[in-house]
Amino acid sequence: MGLEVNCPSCGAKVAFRSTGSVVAICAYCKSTLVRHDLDLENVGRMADLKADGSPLQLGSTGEYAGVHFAVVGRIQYRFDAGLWNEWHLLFDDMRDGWLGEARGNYAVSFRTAVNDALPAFGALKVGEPVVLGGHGYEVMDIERARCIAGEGELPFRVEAGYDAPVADLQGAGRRFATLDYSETPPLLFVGQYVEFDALGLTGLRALDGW
Amino acid sequence: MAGETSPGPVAPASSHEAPKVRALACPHCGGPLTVRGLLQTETIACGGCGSVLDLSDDSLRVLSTFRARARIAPSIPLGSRGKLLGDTLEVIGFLRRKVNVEGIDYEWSEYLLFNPYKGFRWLSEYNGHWTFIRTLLERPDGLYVVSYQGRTFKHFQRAKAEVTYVLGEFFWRVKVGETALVDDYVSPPYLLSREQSENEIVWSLGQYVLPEVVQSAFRLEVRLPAPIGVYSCQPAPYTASARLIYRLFAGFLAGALFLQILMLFLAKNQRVFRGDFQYSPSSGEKSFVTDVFEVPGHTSNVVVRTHANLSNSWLYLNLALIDESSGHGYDFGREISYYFGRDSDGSWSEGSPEDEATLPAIPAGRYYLRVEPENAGDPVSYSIVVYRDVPRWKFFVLAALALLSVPGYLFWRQRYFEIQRWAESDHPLVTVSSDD
Repeated sequence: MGLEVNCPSCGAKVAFRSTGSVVAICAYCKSTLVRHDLDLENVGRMADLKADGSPLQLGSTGEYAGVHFAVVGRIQYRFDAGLWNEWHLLFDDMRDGWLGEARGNYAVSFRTAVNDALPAFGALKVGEPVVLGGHGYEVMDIERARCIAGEGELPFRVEAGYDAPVADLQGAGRRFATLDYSETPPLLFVGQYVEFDALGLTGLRALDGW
Repeated sequence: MAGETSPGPVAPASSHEAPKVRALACPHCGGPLTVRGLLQTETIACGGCGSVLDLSDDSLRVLSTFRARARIAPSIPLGSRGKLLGDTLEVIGFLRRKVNVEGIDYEWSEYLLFNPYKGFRWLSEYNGHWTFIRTLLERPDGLYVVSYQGRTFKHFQRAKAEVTYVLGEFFWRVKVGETALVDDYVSPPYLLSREQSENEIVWSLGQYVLPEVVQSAFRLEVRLPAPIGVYSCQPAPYTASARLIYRLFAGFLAGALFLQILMLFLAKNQRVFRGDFQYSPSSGEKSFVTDVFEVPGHTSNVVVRTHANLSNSWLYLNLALIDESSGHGYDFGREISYYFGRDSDGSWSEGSPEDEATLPAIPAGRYYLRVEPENAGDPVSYSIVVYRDVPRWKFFVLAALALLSVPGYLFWRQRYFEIQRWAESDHPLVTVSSDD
């Protein structure tokens, strides 16, 4: 199960609850701790998150496809049109997932491997069809996002300022996919758009006047 | 220590503080601005000077400016909060957009509505017609006919929409002059829209709402104007009841037809008298009576059929059916005329040598006819046959016409409405010559 360590920098407790988590950011001193087999490496201080209006926070819980999850980490991106959060989810069945959230839009996705060759970022065009893993998609949104910062535990290292060219694809119904070109080869996440009410979220932030 | 109550560590960093409504001053004109978007908005447009400011920048950098022809006051003031179709929403932005179709600008208003948990919704208003809009999670399928959640939407219009006026907050870097290619598809009361800009496609679903609904949702004091004309996704009148009405009247018609068929079966169609007569004006005796005949059974109609051997002449019969016992009579006059011939257009004829008169409700009894013929002077032979309980279609036809008038009116109203609706689209139902 999970692992709890003391931050080598400030001594605060830092949790690695997901076995898939490689990185945890100390909530107090922002040290970025990378987990190796038995030891921890402090790779430096994580940048500050930008204040945003997200109703989610670390520790929020919810449900997707009948499985309960907890929010254990987050990466905050800056897009051309605002801030975007990818919340790292740990499901009760020990799966790792992501809850993409921006301006009241929510999408749950899971890292997925396909045999198809992924299209190059430069070759993508809005409105064009793409077939991935036997499903047809349409390119809906192409953005050059920038990582602002991360918090909590994450399955890979993030660094402030790195470029994340991403494309959102939409398939039949609510099926959706994200191609993330910040790594080579690009990462593919596949999931569904979801309604806020359907997520049954608890432990949300208080928002002024609401 | 927050860590004791929640499973994850909660740091006392500024990014974790609850976002608040902020009051600012426009750096350009000093006018007051209220930021209601709780850090979910990107820009705010100052109504005082037309500056669009960057909310992600602490110094409120001016992103663009626009010069409005006139200041436009939104019908729903910014900051109004209401519950619309289940969600509590606050008006935080207002913009005007226009499309140009065949040289004519059509401009409408859009209100940006905000809920920090559920995101953004829109209310659009054109000529008093309101549509509540939300972004779709699904991507509908199809090109000219699009299906979404079991409904079929027909393509209505493709147009380039351009922003002409902005006020308040937006979740993107809004700019006067920005354009998007909009395809609208309708299935009243719903409207599907596909908006494509340079790097994004957004599908949204609109639902037609009555001004009263908007009025009461936001508790507006000023009365919203009544809608003008027909809007693309406005439901046709009586849409909800049309099916019921068609069914109801089909039921009535079937009932009337059933009764009619029953009456055809039950009618005796019984001959009670027949007489052949000869009339010559010179014979002097003008009026005569027939033998008494029996009209049996229940009270029923009596049909008097006459046939005269006429050739380009006429015969007038002054008739009376008289009850032998009471002497009470039913008087009626019949004119039979029959003319025919040939001219340059071919053969023609007018009138008929036959006539039929119906007396509606005659009780059973013993009757005779009094006959008083008249004509132009030639001798003529004629026959009179009397039937009782003859099946009639007239009342059924009248009833059917009366019954069809209601669904007929309904059909016409709806059809006319659809013609008006589609007249505004790329695909009008009726093509009008455009010589205006």
